[in-house]
Amino acid sequence: MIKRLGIIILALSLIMAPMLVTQTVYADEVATQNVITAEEIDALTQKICSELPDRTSYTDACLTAAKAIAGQSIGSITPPDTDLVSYATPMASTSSDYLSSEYLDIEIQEFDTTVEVLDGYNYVDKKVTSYNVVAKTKNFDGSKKTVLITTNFANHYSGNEFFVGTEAEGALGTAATTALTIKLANYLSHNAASNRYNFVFAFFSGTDEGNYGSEAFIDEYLTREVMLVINLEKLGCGKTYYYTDEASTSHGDYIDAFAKSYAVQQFPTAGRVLLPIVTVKDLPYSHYAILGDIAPFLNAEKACLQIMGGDYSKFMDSEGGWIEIVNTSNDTYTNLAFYHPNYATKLSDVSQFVLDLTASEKLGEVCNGAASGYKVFTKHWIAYIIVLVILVALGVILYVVASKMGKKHPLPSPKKIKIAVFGKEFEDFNGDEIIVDIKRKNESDINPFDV
Amino acid sequence: MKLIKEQKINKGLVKFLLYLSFCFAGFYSARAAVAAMPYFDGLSPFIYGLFAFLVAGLGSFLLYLILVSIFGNRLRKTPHLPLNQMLYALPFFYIGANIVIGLFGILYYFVPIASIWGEIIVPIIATAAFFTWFLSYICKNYVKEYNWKAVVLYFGKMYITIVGIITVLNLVLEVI
Repeated sequence: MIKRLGIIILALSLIMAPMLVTQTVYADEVATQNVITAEEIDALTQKICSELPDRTSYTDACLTAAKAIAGQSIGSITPPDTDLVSYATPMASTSSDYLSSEYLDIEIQEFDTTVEVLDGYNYVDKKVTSYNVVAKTKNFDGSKKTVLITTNFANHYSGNEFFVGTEAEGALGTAATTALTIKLANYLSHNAASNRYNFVFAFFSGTDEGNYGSEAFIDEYLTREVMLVINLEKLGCGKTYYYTDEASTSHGDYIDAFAKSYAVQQFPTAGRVLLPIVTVKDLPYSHYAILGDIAPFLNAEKACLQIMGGDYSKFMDSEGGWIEIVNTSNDTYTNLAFYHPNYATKLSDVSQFVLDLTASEKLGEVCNGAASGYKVFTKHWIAYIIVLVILVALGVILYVVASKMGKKHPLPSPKKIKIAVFGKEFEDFNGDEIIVDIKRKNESDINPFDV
Repeated sequence: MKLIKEQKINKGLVKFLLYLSFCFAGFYSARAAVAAMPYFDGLSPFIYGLFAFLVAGLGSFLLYLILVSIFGNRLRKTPHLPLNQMLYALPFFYIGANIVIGLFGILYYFVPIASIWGEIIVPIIATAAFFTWFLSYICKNYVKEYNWKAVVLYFGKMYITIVGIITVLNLVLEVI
């Protein structure tokens, strides 16, 4: 009887449990809706793709895009003849403006890069120009530390001296993350007085060409007051990863603990293509998390937080979708919505992670710059010196061991050859000599060396 | 050791195993280099990993064959030197060293920073240890006790000289 009752109770529990979990989750979802919603991000991403499909670095289109992102008037925009039919439910455009100059001081930074181009049969240097957008919250409070939030807004639509054009909007590659960063900028600048830190936002071009935009920004704008650099890259696909530094840091440990409550996981450095190229100056290798704009800031010894999308579970760079679309002609808004229908939700979750993190008082205490403890271990020449010391020690050990062997197992003394002129019976044989009897035996001529 | 002394394993098989061991030892560096090549963009990690594995051992294996050939010919007329036995036994000890080096390569996947010094220092220590074991084996099995000093000094100095020259060259290139 009791056994039957137990089975009934267990069965009922199993049936009821999903309903309880669902209700709990639903209640939590209602209670913790993200400040920057997925709908807003999706609307702005669509706007960027339709109004600014060409954001190619080192072209006039880059300047047009930079001005638009900076909230400047760029005249009428004629969207190209692209099919923007979305498989997602069309959303009404809400507050999908670009950067708001009401609460942000916005500048467009121009920078030059020298590139080698083929001119006839020779390579010649050519200076090319590209643009960054830099915005900071108005009324900077000198008593507060500063957080810098960056992203890459450019794409490969029409090609330049570095890349061939793809004629795609770069929806997943850069547009979606640019939309997120614009939303963060507008939100944080609206609430500047209540922010714990000052904020600066930078939108780079020239990233894929060689991080030229971020390098130019560092030369002109990076100040000592910047305590943390948050770089957002290719968000919305696969999972969301974060990376802080190659060795342990106080801000990295804090973010490790902080991220546990969010759908953001630590980038798995182990085995994720450690390339034999240098992007961070003290590191003779590179991996996916330090190939982008975060590298110059690590070189500038700033505390950094890279937040990136992708699927690195299989040891290589993947977007976690059916096909890879970034930097291809498939990187359109249509394909983004089709292959990654939840992209905006992921971006919204990232925005909440960033907002909550940068609202934390402890963050200011733990940001103490990039890791420095491993720097001596990245110097190859020290390792070679150690090897030479080991070889010298081996040489000394070799001679010591060999001389001990020589003493323990000495060479046998060499035997002398002695000619027995009068016959061997007249010689004293002591074992250390070889006696050669030259006396004729009987009457025949025999070999005198026959002993 | 009995297998080595009685030369029970086919020489061709030994050379093949030696090649595989060089592949295992060099896989960590080769994989990173191959991954940087644009030809492998989009390919599965298994494909470029396999290519890296096969290519990793080629250079080292060829260098081994060349050096053994040069020194083997030079030492062939040395009296009382068990050259054939030495040439048969040497790959086994090299395989041991390569396994140790390859195992450290696995460690580097999880602690990449360790590879910076590790890839320079570990091969030296591993090959020195196994070369010492090789000399010990040869001396005990094929060389009269009173010749141990001469054999150990000769081959020990040769090893230290070759490794020392390579290290100094690498140091100069690194500093330049």
